[in-house]
Amino acid sequence: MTRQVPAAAAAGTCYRYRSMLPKGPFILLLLAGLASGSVHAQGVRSHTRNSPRATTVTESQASDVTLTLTAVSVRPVQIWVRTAGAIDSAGKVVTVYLTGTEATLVKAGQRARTFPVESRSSMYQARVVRVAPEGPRVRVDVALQATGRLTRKGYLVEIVTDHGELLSVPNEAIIEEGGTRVVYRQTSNGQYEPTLVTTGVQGELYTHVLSGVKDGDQVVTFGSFFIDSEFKLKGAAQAAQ
Amino acid sequence: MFATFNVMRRLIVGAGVAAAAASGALATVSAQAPKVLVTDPTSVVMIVNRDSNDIGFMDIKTKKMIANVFLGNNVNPHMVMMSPDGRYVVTGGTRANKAYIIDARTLQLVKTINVDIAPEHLSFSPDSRWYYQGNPDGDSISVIDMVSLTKIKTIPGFAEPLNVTFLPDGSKAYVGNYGAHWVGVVDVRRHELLKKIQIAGMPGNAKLDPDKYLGEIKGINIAALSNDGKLLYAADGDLGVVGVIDPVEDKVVKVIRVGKDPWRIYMNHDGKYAITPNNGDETISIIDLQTNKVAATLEAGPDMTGVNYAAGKAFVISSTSGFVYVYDMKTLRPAGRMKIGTNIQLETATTDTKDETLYLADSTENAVVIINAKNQTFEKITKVGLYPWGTHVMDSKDNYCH
Repeated sequence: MTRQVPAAAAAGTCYRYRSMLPKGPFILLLLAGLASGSVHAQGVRSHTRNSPRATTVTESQASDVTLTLTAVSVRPVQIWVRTAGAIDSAGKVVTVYLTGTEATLVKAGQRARTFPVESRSSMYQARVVRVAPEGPRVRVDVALQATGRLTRKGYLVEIVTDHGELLSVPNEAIIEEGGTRVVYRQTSNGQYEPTLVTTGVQGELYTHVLSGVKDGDQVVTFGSFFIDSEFKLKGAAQAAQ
Repeated sequence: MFATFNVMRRLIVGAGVAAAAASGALATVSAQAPKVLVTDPTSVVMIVNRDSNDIGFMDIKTKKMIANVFLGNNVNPHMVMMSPDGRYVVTGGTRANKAYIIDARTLQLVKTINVDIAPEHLSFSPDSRWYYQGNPDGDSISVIDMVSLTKIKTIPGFAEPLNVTFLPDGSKAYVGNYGAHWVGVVDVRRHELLKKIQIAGMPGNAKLDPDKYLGEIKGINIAALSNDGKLLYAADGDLGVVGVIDPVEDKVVKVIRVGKDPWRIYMNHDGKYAITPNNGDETISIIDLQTNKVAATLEAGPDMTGVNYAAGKAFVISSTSGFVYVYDMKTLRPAGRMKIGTNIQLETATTDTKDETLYLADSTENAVVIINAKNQTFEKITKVGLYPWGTHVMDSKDNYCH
């Protein structure tokens, strides 16, 4: 004779209890109690076999993937607004038009770098000298320090906008997972823990961190995807045991 | 009561520790927060002082020294460069086998990194991410990650690598090997040597006279990029030629014969011409970049170490003669020479971003010579440091070393 093992009990702790189950109206109550007990047991089980909090990487692995750490610290965060415009006939001023967020970032006095479109390796240093709204757009005049080449009118412009000194991590330290952002923080030598962070402005090389890590924490830059996959593999392996 | 006392005691101790930590932290902040000395990275000239082992910072407007950042004893810095984002200033210490990273705003030495043997010339990727430090005696390039400020790799396989040139998109870097006759192509994504581009065939008598051709090789100093970023030009000292490289195919598409023992090639800012100073016959060759032919060969001086362009002229530095030779780049004719001094040694110069002024290192006088390119006059700023070896202005088109 075979006995059917209820799923709840199967996930529970002891099959022997069920053989002693009383018949009648108490069955439902007891089953409910067992069910709740089994939920509790599931909790214990997940507690004893929980996913790893961190992952460990050996020195040779770290060397193979050029694992690199960078300190979370307060540093200048820059956004380079990249755009294109036309140079005037004197070869001195490039005029560009901006819209949206980019337009709000640009101010007179900011440093800029300009390149003739056909001459990408020939760079002219410049400054934003005028920012003026014109209808839905913003007109930006960028004055070159030297006289630009006039072989063609088209110029590429990079305006360096500074966002001040902010607590930041390198862009590549951040792994985006759906709507969340994770960095791998070193907890001890060779141990790395995924840490949720909330972020602010994202600059050229660094992203402002609003919460999740603190000044001085070491986060993985190079090799963050390797650490992430190690962490997930170990978690999956433990869950399968 | 006892429990309450314990809780109270914990709170008091905790508060005390917190207060102490806070005051300590404040003290640390106030003690460590360095003063910002340079608010605009384009406002300074950097000077490599070889014998005083420091990097000098001179204000362009006032012509006064702001600071000299001491690197350490017996460092012998060789070349200095500011990152394109204006965040850091770096140099390689030739005798210390180290790279030095200075905060460009506070002028504090923030990191020292071990590299290979005798680091000299260096370059930044256009996005400021990678600092490639050439190590001529180690025959390697050290790759420094400017985000983590760590050396992540040493690329071996070069032969006395001198200068590194990144493509404008940062995908590849070209390395001049002064101890060979080829240009190394580096994949910047993987930081690996991809290819060796031989500039020209070795003459047959290399086998007959190995001392001349294999002992003291004068190969390729730099592969310099044309203004449109489409071609690279590499002069070879022993072969007396300039090889033109197409970076799409990484092949030599033309070989241009120039004078004897060209030191390297310098691109004019308007993209029309380039000059090789030929120390073997004390001439300069002016190459027309449209036709890739020599447009003029003109007399110059001995031991030429650099060429700068400003105000429509070329300024050729003759290191041991104390003269700077000037050429009109429209007529391609000599435009006089400037006597900077007697019994002095001139090194290299940088040009300001207005293309008006040159800053020339005058090593034996511990000075920087500021040359007005338009009227060809100059003034000397002395006591900039000991044995200034080179100068640098952020984003200058003439940033080089020797």
